[in-house]
Amino acid sequence: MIRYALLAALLVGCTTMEPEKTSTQFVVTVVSPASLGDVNNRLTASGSGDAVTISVQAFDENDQPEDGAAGHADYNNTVGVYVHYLGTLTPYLTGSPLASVPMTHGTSQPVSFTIPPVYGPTTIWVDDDSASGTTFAAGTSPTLWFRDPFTADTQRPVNEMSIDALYDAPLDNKNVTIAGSQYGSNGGALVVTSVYAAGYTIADVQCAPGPTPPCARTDYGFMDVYSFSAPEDGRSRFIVEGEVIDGGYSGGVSEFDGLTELGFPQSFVNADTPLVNPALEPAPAVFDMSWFGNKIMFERNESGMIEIDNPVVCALDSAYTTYKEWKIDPSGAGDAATCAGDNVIDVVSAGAVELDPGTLVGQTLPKIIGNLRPINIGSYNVWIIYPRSMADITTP
Amino acid sequence: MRLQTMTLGVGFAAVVLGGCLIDSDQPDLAGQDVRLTIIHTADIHSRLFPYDMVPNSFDQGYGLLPVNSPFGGIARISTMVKRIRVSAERSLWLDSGDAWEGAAVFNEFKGEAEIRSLSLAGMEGEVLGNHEFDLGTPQLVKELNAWSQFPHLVADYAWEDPSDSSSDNGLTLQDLTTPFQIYDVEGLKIGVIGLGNEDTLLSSYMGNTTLGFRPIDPGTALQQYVALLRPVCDLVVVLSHLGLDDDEGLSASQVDDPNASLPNQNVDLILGGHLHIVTNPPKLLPADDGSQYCVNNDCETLLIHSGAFAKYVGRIDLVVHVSDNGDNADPEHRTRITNFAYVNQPVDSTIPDDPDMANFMWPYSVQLNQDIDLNGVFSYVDPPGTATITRNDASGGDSQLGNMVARAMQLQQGVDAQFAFTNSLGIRADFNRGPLTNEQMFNVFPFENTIVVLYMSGQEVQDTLDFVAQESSQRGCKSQLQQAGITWDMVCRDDPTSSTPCKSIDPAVPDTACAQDTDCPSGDRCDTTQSRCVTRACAQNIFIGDNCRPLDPNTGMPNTDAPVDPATTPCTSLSPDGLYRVAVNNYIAAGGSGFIVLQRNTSQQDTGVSLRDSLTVFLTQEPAICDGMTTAQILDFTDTEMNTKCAVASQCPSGTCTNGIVTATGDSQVCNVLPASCMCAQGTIQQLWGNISCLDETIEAHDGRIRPVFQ
Repeated sequence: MIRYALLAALLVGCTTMEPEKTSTQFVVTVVSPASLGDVNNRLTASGSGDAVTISVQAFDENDQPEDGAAGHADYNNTVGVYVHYLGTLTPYLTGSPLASVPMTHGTSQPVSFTIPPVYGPTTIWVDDDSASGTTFAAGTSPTLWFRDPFTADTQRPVNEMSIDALYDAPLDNKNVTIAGSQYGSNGGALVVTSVYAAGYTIADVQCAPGPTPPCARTDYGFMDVYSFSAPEDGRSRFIVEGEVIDGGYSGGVSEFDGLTELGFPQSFVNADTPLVNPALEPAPAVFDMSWFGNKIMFERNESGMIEIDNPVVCALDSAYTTYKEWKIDPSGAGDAATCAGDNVIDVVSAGAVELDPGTLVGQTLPKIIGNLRPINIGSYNVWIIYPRSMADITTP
Repeated sequence: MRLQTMTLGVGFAAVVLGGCLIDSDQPDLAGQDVRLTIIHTADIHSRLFPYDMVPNSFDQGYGLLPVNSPFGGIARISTMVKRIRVSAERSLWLDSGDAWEGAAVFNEFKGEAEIRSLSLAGMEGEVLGNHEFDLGTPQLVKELNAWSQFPHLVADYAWEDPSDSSSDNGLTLQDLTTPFQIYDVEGLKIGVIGLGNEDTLLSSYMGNTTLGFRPIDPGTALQQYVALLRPVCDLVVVLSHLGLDDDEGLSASQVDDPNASLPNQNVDLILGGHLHIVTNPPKLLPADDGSQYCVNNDCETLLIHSGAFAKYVGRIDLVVHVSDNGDNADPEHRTRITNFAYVNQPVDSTIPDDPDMANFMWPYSVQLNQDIDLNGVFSYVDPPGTATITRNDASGGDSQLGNMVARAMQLQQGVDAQFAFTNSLGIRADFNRGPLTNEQMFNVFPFENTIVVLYMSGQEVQDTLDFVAQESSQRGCKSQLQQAGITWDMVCRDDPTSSTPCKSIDPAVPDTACAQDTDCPSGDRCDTTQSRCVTRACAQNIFIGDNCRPLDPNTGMPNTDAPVDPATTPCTSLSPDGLYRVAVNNYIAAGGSGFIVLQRNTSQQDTGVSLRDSLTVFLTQEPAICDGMTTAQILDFTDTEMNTKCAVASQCPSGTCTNGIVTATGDSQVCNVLPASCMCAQGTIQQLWGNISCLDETIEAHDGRIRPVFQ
C-alpha cells in the first residue's frame, strides 16, 4: 500500500514540475481618431467605414514590458485585429482579421485599418491568433463612442443598387437598441402600426411636437419586431396598434428570407399610461406599378403599411391552399397570365379578417391596405401584405 | 496494520499534494486583460447518439446543414470540447440543464448514460432542469450519487424534509446539489449560481411527479447569492433553466421601477436554457449599478442561450479586465467583461467522434439495440419534396402529426372516444421523410405517457378549450393542444365590436368586479353584462365530429380557414349540458401544463396503453400506398445514396437510366432520372423493408379542426 501511496505522491508531484504559468496582456492604444468621444458626445461615423489607427504593446503579468530586456520576456508574435460593436465581433475570431499587427520585442508600429460602418460603443479587439506559439493573449482598446443606430440604419442597404439590396440587412446578426426616433425631440416618435399574433411592426415618424398628428413616414423607417408570443412591453402590458414606444426597443437583427426582423425583442414603454393614438400612424405609402420595375421601392417600405388602389382579385391557386396567400393584380387586368406572373401582390388575411377571398375573384377592390412583409431570396420575390382588419379592405 | 499503512500513505500523499498546490503559483492578474473561454450547452435531452432531423431555416442559418446529418452525439461534443480547450488558456464548461429525457437511451438507462458520459467528457457544472425530475427525485438522487463527477447547481429550491423518500443511502438531493460553485480558472475566480425552473416544475408536481422541494422566487435567491459572491469573485455567472423571459426578468429593466435594487446589477453573464432557442447575437440586458463606471460605460449583462438537442456547442470568448486592486465589491474597480465573442458551433457529421467517448458509449448502444430494436422500421414517411410530417403547423392550428397522435388515441381499441386531446409539447419531433424507425418514435414520444379515458360535460370541454386559447394566445397563437374528433375556433384576440366577443371570465381574477376596461389587468376587457373581467382569448364555435368545415370546391378538402356552417356541417354543436367520452394523455389528465379542469374530473380511467404504442399500431394499419403508388413502386431516396446527386446517369453507381425510372442490374440499385439531375436509391420501399405502411401528406392532414383567429 505504501508503494501505491508513494507512486501517487510522485505522480501528483509531477504536476509541480510544470513551468509557472505566465500571462501576456496587451495594451491597445487608439492613435487615430484623436478623440474617442464619450457616452454623451458621440462620434459621427461616415456610414461607409472609417479608418482607425492603433498601436499595441505587450506586458507580462507583473506589468513589465515583454521587450526582451534583461529579466523580461520577449514577445514577437503577430496579432489579429477585430472590431466589437452591437454585441458581436466583426469578423468572428475564426475569420480573417481586419488587420494583422506584427509585434517586435513587445511593441508594434502604428497600424491603420478600416472598420465597417459601426454604431454605439465600439472597441478594437486584439487577439494572439498566431498559428504557433500562441499565448492566448487578448486585449481591447478604450471605447470609441459612435452614435446609436436608428430604425432606418438597420433597414437601409449599404448600396441600394447592389444585387443583394433586397435581402441583405446592414446590421444582420447584430444586437441593436433603438433608443428613439431619428427625429428626436423634433416631433420624433416610434409608433406601432400593426400588431399580429407573434409580433408587431413599428414606424419611426416625424410629427408635430407632442407628438401630435399628422406624422410623416420615412424610407426604411419601419421594423418588424418578431416576439414569437403576443407582444408585450417590459411591464408585461400588451402592445397595441397606435401605441408610442417611448423607451425604444432592442433585439437581434436577422434577415429572414429577405425580411429584416428583430428577434428576441424587448420593448420599453416608460409611460405609466401608454400613449395610444392611431392617428399618429403615418399614412400608408401608395403603391404604383413602377415599383415592380424598381424593386427598391418595396425595400424602402418593408414592414410599413402600403396601399394598393383598384387591384383585381386573382383566382385562388395553390398558394392559397398551402399558405393562405391570395393574389391581387394591381394592373387591373386580372387575367390568368398576369396573375400567374411576377407582378402581383399576395395578401394574407386568414385569422385577422373574416373574409372568403374566393367570393371576390375577378372583382376590383377599390382599395386594400396591408403591412408589407415580403419574401426575397435572390431573384425570387413574393410581395406579401397583411391587412390588419376588415377596415383595411374596401370591397366593391 | 493495514489501516495504519493506508493512513500513512494518504497522509504522505496529502503532504505532497499540499505542496503541489503551493508550488503551482497562479499568475497575478490584477489590472490585466485576460481571456476566458466558456463552453455552453443546454437541453441536451439525451441526444447522446447522433440522430436524423431536418434542420429548419434558423438551424441552417447557424450552419446546421442537412448534408451534414446526423446531428448531435456526446462523442462529437467531447471532441469539440477538447478542441476548444486546446485553443483556450482558460476554459469552463457549463450546462443549462435538461440533459435528461428525449431519446431512447434515457428510457432504457434512466439517466445513467447521461450522467456518466457528461462526467467523462469533463462537464464542470450544470443547473438542474425540470426534465431531470421526469423519473422522480429518488431516481435523480440515485444517478447523481452513483455517477456524477461535476457540481449540480440550484439556488432557488427550498428542500423538504431530508429524511423523505428521496434519499439514496442516506443522501438526499440537497446533499448532492449546491446553490453555487466558485471556480478558480487559472487565477480567475468565477462564481456560478444555478437557477432552476419554477413553472414547469409546478406543472410536473400537478402531474404527480415526486419532487421533494418547492421552488422559491429566483430573483430573491439570486440577490442573496450575488451579494455573497460579488466581493470574492471576479465574475458572477448565472446558470439558468428559467427560460428567456425569466432570464430577462432578472435584468435591471429600464421600465420597472428604476430605483429598485434588482439582482442582475452585479451579474456579468447569464447562460440560459429551457426554451431550446439560440440567442446569437447574445442579448445585452441593461445592468446599470449606479457607479460612475456605468455612467461612463454601457454596463450590460450578457444573456446567451445555445440551443438544444445537442445541435450546438456554444463558445463564448470573453476579454476580462481584472480588478486592479482586487476589490470586487467596489463597482468602480471590480473585474468586468470588456469584450466578448460568441458562436454556436454545429454538432454534425463533420465532427469526428472522440474515440474514448465512443468506446465508453458502445456498451450502451449495444444493449439499447438489443432491447428495443431501434432500427426496426414499420412505416415509410413520404411527404412531398423535402417536407416533413410536422408537429407544428405553420398556421398555428392543428398539425398533421398532432392529428395522427390524437386519432390514434381516439381509435385505440378499448378507448373508442368521441374525441381526443393531447398537449402539443408532448410531441417532441417531426416525422422526417424516409423509413420510420422505433428510435424516431422515442424521439417523437420520449415520455412514457398513457391514454386516460374520462367523461366530460360540455362546460368542462368549453373551459378546457378556453384555457388552451388563452395559453396559445401567449405563444404566438400556436395551439398548445392537438386533437381529433372535434373542431373549434381558437380566438387568440377577439374583436370587441363583433357580435360574439369573448365572455370567458379571466381565471386569474375571477372575483374582481369591474365597470370599465381599466379596472381589469392588461389585455383583459370588462364585460359589463357580467361586471367581470374577461379574457380576449377564448374558444368559439365548438363542433363535435370530423370534416366540420365546408369543403373547398377546388381541392375537395375542408377549407381550413372557413367558419363552420351550422346549416350544412355534418358535425354537432357542443352542448354545455352534454356528456362526452374523451381520451386524453395521463400528463394533462393529472393537471400537467395547467390543465386543471381535467385534473378535477373524477371519472378518469387510465388504460395503461402508452401513446407511443398506440400511435405505432395506428400507423402500421395504414395502407402501403402513398400518393396512389404502392411501396413496391416507390423508391427510397433517403439512404446514404440519396445524397449522391448526379448530373448524368452514369454517376449513379451501377445505374443505367433511360426515360424515367430504370432498375439497374445486379445490386438492385435504381435511378430516377430528373430533368436536371439524377438521384440514386437503394431500391423500392418494399424491397428494402417489406410490406410496411406508407404515410403521405393526406393522412390526418391539417384540416382546420383548430382554427386560429387573431382579430
